[in-house]
Amino acid sequence: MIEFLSMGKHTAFVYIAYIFSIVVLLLGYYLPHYALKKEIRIKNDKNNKNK
Amino acid sequence: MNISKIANLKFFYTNTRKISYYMSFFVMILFIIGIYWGLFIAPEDYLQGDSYRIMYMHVPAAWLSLQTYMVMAITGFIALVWKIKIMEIISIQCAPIGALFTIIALVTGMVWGKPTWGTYWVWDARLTSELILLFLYIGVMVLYASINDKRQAVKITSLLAIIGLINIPIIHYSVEWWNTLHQGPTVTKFDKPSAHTTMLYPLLYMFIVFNIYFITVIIKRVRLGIYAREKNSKWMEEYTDD
Repeated sequence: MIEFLSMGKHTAFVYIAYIFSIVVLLLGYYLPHYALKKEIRIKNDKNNKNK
Repeated sequence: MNISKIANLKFFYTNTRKISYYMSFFVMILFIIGIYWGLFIAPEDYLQGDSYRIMYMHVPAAWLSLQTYMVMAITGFIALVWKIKIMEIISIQCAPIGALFTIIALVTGMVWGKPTWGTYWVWDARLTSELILLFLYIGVMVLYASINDKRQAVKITSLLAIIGLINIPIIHYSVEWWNTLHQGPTVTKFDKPSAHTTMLYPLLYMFIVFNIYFITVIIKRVRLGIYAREKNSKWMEEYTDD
């Protein structure tokens, strides 16, 4: 398994680049996703209070 | 389908929820395939060894950083001239996505630079102009956030985006106009690309996947932008699917 994952002497560089990119791409997706959910929840809470 | 209908905020918001949901799964699967292809199937480079595999994240992110800026400037121009609301929202929502692509391109470039050039950073034309692109994206976001009247804010950020367009050909041609440590074009030499097809195909595949990711995220961000603007409108009050 380790041999399969090995990138020779550049293993650390390759995986750091990939992991960083994946984390940033996930952030790019989930930030607006949860921001919208939060906005909707705030609006609904407000509406429920007014009722 | 009528374009004016898609440009309608209500139509866009109510019809893209499911599309965005399914595209998220689709793009995730495509990314897994692309990452596996780039890391384990593409052959090792005879000169750079395995470090060149960073290219499959670095290059599409760099291309998308330029492409996203062009979308931001073009939609900003349309918003400025024809005052189409959805174009205003698309234009401003491009900035955070473009900034993310630029950050990926810069950081993966630095991580690739260390084993290849022996340094993380040099102030050469390509790297510096790409850094200026990041500052342009940040400038657009900060400017938009600092103005209370959002329709007025979009006019000003659109102008900044249009002026900043001058940086795009500078980034693209920097490796030809100046002596840079960054390598010259590899893929865009369409008559004779210097990468072998076994390395080139996963790169083109990842470019397509990054584009699908961009569409998925821009739909999400535009829905967020529409909600922020229209949350007090009658149709939004009546819409209960979210």
